[in-house]
Amino acid sequence: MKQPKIHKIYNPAMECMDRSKLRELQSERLRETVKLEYERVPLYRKRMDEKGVKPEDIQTVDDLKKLPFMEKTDLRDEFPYGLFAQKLTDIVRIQGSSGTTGKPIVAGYTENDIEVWTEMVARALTAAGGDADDVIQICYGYGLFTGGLGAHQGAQRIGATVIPMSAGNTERQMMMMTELGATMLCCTPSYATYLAETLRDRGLLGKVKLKAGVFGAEPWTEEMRTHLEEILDFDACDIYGLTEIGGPGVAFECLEKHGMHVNEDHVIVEIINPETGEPLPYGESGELVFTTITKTGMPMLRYRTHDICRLIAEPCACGRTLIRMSRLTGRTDDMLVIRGVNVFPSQIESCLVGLEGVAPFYMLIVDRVNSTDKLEVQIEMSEEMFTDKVSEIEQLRSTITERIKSVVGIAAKVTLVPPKSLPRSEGKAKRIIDNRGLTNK
Amino acid sequence: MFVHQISVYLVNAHGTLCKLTGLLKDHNVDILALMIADMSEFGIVRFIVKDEDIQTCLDLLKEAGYSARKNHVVCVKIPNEAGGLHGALQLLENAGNSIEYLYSFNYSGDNNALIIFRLADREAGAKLLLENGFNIATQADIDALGC
Repeated sequence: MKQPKIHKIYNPAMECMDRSKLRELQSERLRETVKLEYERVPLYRKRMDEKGVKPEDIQTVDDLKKLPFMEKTDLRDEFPYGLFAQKLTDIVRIQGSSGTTGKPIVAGYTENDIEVWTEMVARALTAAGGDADDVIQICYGYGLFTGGLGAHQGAQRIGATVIPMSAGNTERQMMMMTELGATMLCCTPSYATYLAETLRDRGLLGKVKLKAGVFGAEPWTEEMRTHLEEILDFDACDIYGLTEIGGPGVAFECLEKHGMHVNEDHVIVEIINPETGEPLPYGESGELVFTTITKTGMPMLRYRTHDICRLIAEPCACGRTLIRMSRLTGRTDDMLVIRGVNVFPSQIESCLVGLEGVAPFYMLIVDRVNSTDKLEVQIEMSEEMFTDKVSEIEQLRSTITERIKSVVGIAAKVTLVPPKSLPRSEGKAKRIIDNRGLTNK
Repeated sequence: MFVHQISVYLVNAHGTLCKLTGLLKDHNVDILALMIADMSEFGIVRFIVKDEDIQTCLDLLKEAGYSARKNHVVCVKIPNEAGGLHGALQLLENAGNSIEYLYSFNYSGDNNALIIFRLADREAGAKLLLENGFNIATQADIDALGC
């Protein structure tokens, strides 16, 4: 049942802070973080030295633009511990995500960082209406992926009753949801849609007690929200985050459902021109860049997300002063999010290296069937790869399928197609056909 | 002693075989025998053509974007009688020589069936069959069939 629009706020002191006070707080925390990063992370110190920037040059948020950027490739190059600013003695958790090649990226959390992350998710769940009376079902995967544990910690923090289902097994999800009377749901929006449609088709909607859902880990659209809310008669809220910056909860929607509030006492958000790196004024569309200012295990300064969106500076009716970010409208690179998992074509490519003959031409085709993402990898079979034996071709196909599964972490359908049958594009090779219609305007 | 066979990779989709046979027809290539291994996603078409057509065929296929391969198979004349094929298979089995697949010509011109064998050990298999009274058809024999 949809809730009356009453805005609950987990930490009003921080979430509704006067913006000039907030800026002071941010500046103070930024100074500390830059100092820590410069002292402890050789890569970043080198980069600052190259730019001729010293920690004392960074006094306020306005100085942020003097700092060099960080990129996902830095996490790969410094894998695993190079970007950690603390000894492993003080690192209490590792979480991970996909890298751009075969290797994953990892992030280290101190006790403090887990606390920061937990609070960010607690704020998000509270904003969606959650409190100690709620029964929260979590069907994000638990593990290296930040979704499961992130939602779990936040839900526990607000005192809710947590059902840690983890991902998959829809039958069991539905049974627990209806029998235990879950009032809130945390998962990817596509899985929520699949669950909702299955509940509807089984005639189980009468037994569903959901009032809200907090959905993230992949981009979604207003159309998907409308569809979900129509079926489940509840409030579907968006949540944003990335492992590098701490996990889900970096930004979250309130019941106004108009943009996600960025937890600005923990991160500073910028929008830059992806071509020039120049910061853009609020309201303009560009690449989202985050600087963590409370994380101590692996601080990230000016981390380029490659997500495109804009910032909404107008005050929100919920009373929070935290700035909002719009829905994502695209990427500046070719990353795909499939069933909540970040997928780079370069990762797939790394699975094809070492096959017979030259690296084959390939294409990724993504579709959404019954609200579930399907990835098909079409690979052109070169003459060298072709043998007359069915068993050898099947073997080749299953080898590729297994490699993709282990490198990317999701199952893909591998199809071997004849040579020269995939469309060629001029200039940069187009590797992706995405038929899911997820683009926000 | 061996016969040339051409194998082509096809996606298992409507019309792909027809497109292939159309290409061969347009270039006047006669298919003497053909078999298809069909899997859910793809198929391998194997066929025999006259010696003079083999290179043309391979060039054509390559140009048209097919993955194709030429290989050698054993073509055995099997007496057209009960147990004819069994005799050959029994010999190979006893020798531990595995058959990867086999298929038959629909025309032989005499009272024999022509069976194409793809063997794990082609040389040994052909020798064994010859020693045991089977006749092996060569590419020249195939070309002369006039079928």
